[in-house]
Amino acid sequence: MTKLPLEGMRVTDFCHGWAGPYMTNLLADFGAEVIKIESSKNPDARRQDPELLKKGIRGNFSLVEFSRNKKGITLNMKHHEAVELAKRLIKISDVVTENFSLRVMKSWGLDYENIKKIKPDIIMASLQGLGQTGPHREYLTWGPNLMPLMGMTYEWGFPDTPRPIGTKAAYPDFIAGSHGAVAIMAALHYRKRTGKGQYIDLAQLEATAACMPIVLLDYTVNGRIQERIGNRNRYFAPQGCYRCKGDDQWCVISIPTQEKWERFCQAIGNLLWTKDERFATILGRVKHADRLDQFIENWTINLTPQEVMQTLQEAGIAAGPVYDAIGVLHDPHLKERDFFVNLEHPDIGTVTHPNVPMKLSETPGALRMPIPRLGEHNDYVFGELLGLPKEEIERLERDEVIV
Amino acid sequence: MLQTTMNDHALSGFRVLDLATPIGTYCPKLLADLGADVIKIEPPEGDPSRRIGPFKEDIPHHERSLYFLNFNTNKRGITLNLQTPDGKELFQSLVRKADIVVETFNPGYLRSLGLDYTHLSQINPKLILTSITPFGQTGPYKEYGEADIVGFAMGGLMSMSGEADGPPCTAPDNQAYMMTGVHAAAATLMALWGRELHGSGQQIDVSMFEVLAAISSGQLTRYTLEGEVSQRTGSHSDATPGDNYPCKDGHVRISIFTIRNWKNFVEWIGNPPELLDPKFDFPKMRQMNMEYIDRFVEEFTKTRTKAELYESGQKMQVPVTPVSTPEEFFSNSHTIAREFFVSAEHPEIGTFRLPGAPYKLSETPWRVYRPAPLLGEHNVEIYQGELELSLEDLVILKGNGVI
Repeated sequence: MTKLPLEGMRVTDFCHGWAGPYMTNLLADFGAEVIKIESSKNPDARRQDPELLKKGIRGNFSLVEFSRNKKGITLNMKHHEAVELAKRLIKISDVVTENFSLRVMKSWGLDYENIKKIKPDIIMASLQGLGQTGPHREYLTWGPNLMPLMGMTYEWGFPDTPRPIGTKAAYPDFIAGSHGAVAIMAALHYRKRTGKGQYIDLAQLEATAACMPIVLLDYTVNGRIQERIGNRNRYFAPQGCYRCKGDDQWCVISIPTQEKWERFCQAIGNLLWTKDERFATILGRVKHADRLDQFIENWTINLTPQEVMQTLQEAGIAAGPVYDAIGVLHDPHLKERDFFVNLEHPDIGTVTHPNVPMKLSETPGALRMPIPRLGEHNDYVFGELLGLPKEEIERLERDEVIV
Repeated sequence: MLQTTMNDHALSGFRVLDLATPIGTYCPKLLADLGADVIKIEPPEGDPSRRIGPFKEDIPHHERSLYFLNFNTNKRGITLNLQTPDGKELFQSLVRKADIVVETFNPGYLRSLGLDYTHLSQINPKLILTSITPFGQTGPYKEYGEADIVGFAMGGLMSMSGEADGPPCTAPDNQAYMMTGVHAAAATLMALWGRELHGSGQQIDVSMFEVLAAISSGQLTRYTLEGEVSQRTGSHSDATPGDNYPCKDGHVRISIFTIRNWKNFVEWIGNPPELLDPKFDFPKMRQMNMEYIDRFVEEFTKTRTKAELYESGQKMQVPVTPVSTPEEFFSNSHTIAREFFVSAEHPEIGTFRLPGAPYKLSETPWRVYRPAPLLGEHNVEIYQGELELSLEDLVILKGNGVI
């Protein structure tokens, strides 16, 4: 069996949605035993997705996107016996993760203060929108509320649009999830050295704000509120997103230096406009960026995004297509690097997963297990790990504790 | 500045050599802010990122770049020319005592210097070499050039950002680089954990393209299962109401997902009879009547301020948040209460406020105990103090452009 860096580490995972599951997915990909707690009484929202139901995918399985490599158990946490079982699982875990609204873990007696009594060196990570403290900690926010609140939406869009755009993607979920993995790993290293566990309060709002540091510093140091610049760069031109041949096909190009500008002109065949005096200097290109962008688009419009990329990248210019899901799936470079992995699932059939985006030479992460069916690992966890006899598990199922 | 002892940070005792450029620079920053001993290695003329704006008071100077200031907190800094024989030898001496090297050179560059992983691991078999590049160490695009906008475009997020009938729009403040850095940091800490378990160091191959493709994998899975490609739709999301709505002094974000959200929302805006129609209890019906419903939302929001709407809406459990400017996020009472912005002091900048912790660790709180290093600030401390060179040696190395 392949060696994995996080072998032997166990995570009791209460997370739902995307941010928390993405975090524990990173740990699972590298070998942690992540035990995802679910219940048919309270399934992940995703499982009720009408689109999936329509296709006859009945949803007797875990969150599709980020449950690979995890083990799934069912516990109806409204039942006091379920809480006791969760405590027994926590006792043999290294990490507990959750992203419920503030009161939930406390209502089960599973807040950090209590969990610490069960397992003194536990590491617990909570990923709420606004964090555990502060006057707005109980405010109601969904993923799409966070970027507006910390300023990224205000900064994201073109200067001339009536309202800031932001993105349709659930971007802060991934910021929070990946930062959560860093924090948990740091806490584990600290525990190894000192024997002490700790509590991680990750406010998704703040993790996202930490990712916009220069905009924020320009305000705190210079008092400047940066205005939206779309696809431009504040310090050079051209940079932009240009229409290509075909329906809704786009490429991006970025030319930060004089040397690259000259290579660009050569790569596109020294078209007449590249000799324009206005574009000869960096200050000229910044000043006449609008005009310059038009000329560049006149060139890209006759090419596919892939042709633009190839022509320019071979001349040392950063350029690439704006991919949607189909573009990503068909990219030859990703294929060559085995970025897509198909796992067979008993209910859904073949599911294409992205591979681990960090390749470790000696202990590569791997996609070992498909997303678990609901309660798939009940016997392993309650029987093998917690040592419950078969009859007892059956009784708990009948009593709607394990369900 | 706070005085700290060796053991009270999460990553105390680990040493990192930092050769990262903007594509990877967030990785060593995260490690330094968690307490690793990070040594920033700059070429003698200074790291190129010292030339990146904005600068304090817009005065360009290598100690006034807010970019450099942000990404080099808690590090020590030395200068070293890796292209000279002396520089290589000094680097190898540093590698002997290091746990981690983070680098972002083109694939093959370190080999051309005789400093690739094979070579470095002979000097220090426990070394983790974290290599961050736009497209990875292998594959047809491995030589292709980098730009933040290219990562954001090719990974898939940009196609979901922008008006439906306009060009895709990239994110502010180098989000592709930020995401690459945080994933690299997570992988580095996992490899470090694996080293304890399995005994050896390793090389980590982090590709920006793959990181960005992984975090847009929600749309990827959706496409492979449902055949549906997520398209950009301006600022509104899959929910209705779910947009940035104009108000007296800007915009607010409202996201109505659940039935409870909807009921609270309708009550908040004064129970307009048209919206009490039970068909609107279904998300799909609201989505199909988006323009109709949005008219009621805007009618309500446009006569009120962001602050009024935030307060009164949240009081009624409606997921509403302001679309804040950086200034408004900075002065928000919640931001202040959680002390997100921290004070730091720098000889050239003076006292300033810096965006702070992406996570709060209870035992090892995030803090800035050292500002970004001045150019070559720790040359004597490290070359004389640790590598035992004499001051005369340093004079010779300086004169020959090595340090």
